[in-house]
Amino acid sequence: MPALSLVDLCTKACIKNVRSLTDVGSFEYWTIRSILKRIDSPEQLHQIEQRSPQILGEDAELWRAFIARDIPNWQTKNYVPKNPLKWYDVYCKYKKEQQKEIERDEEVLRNSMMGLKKERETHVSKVMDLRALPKVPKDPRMLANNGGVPIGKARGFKKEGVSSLMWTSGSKTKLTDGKSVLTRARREAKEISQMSKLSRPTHQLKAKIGQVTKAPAGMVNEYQKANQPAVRILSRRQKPSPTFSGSITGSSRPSLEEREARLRALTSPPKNGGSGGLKETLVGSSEDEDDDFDEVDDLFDERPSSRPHASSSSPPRSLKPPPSRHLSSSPASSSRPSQPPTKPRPQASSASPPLSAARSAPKPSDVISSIISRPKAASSVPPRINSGPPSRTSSPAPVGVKPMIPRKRPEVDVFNRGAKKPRVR
Amino acid sequence: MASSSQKQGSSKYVTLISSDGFEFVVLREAACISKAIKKMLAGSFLESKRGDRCHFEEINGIVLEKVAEYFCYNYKNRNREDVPDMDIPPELCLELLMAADYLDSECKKKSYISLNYC
Repeated sequence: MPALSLVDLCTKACIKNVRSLTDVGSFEYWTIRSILKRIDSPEQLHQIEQRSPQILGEDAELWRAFIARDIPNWQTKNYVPKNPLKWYDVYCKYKKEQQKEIERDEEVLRNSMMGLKKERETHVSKVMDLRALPKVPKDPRMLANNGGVPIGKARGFKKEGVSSLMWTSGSKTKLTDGKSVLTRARREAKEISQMSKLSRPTHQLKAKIGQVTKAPAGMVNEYQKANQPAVRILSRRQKPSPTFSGSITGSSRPSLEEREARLRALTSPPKNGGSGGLKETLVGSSEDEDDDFDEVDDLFDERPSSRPHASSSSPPRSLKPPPSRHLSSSPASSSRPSQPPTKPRPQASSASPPLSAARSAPKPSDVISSIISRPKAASSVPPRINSGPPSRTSSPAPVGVKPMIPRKRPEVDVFNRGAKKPRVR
Repeated sequence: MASSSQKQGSSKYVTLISSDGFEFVVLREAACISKAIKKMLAGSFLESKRGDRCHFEEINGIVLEKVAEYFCYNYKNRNREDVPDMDIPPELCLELLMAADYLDSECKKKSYISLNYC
């Protein structure tokens, strides 16, 4: 198609520049209708209307278009101007109402937003300084026993207290809202603060359990024995011992009867004049056999002869302590069944009175041995004492007897302590 | 300037005269796409036996010049397809529209209110 008509060309050009159009002069509406349709602003249209009043009645369609475009609910109201020339006023009315509605909606929205914001702010958790917090009031019941409370009657009901670190202790306070969270937080804080306190404070601890009130029996015995004065150990060869230490050794020298006979002869001279022939019947003379065993001499020969000589001569050999005299209460005495019940001698196990005349029955052997021991002190045979400890516990050295240096036997290690450095006594 | 017509009263060119005295010479054939001009020329022929002058009292020179330009443009492109549009300055478009509208319509002399250019 060849070029457009001038009308069309002009229309096109006008539409291109419609924004600048403020006046249509004397144009008829229908002429510029197409251009006016392209106006975007109702205000511009209104301006054109004012300048070209011939348009006024005709442009209703334009206004309707504007209303439909700008006001969403215009159909509910559907204003129609009584005066068709005043479509602009209708449009303005619509506009105002719409603006009011918008403002109302905005207000509501704003209020709701502020409400939400406030709610959020009140529920936010802030970091607080510890000192600013309110102090948990001291529960007086919780202070007893220095912080660790359980004392007293309800024994069977005793809980473990705060000794165990349990993060879930307490009742099941569910963390539903802030209140329960605070409740649980407080409770746990209280428990944690009591964690460091002892359930039973230090001064109430049963220190007595650890303290030593009694010494162990073994040590007691040891120390008792150690503290007693040195005991003279009765040695057969040497001597005399006041003790009836069980030397139940078999080495026999003069037999029991002989010795006793001698003793009696000595002690009661006015009576008999030292008769040596007296022989009293002794009880339990079973020792004789044992005595003989150790005799180096010819048994058969010397034996009979020794007897008669016993009284007169001092036996060349050292006396051995009458084995029968083993008196101590120790069970070792049972080793020699032949212990003669020559227990006319007082057999005080440990606290025998000094061997003086206070003894009911004098110990003939003791006296004899004491006498004899003097010359024989030099030659000493290691005493054969069966039971060491009993000998010690037996009576102390008799009065009048020259104290002998007790020979100590090496201690028996009954406690299995092993070799130790020598004790300094 | 009067255009001399060798033919019997009808010359090849016609003269279009604006309100402010500007005259534009265009081909008769080109100008007669406008019915109004055709009628005017015919009428003037009858009056003065030289129907080749058209006087437009409402159209000023600038606008008429554009009109003449359009006539040429249109005449040149009468056989072409898809011609580009002629350029019209914005300040003229409204008046030009008015003139075009007048020229297309029947030749009725109207008095137009002077347009206000924006």
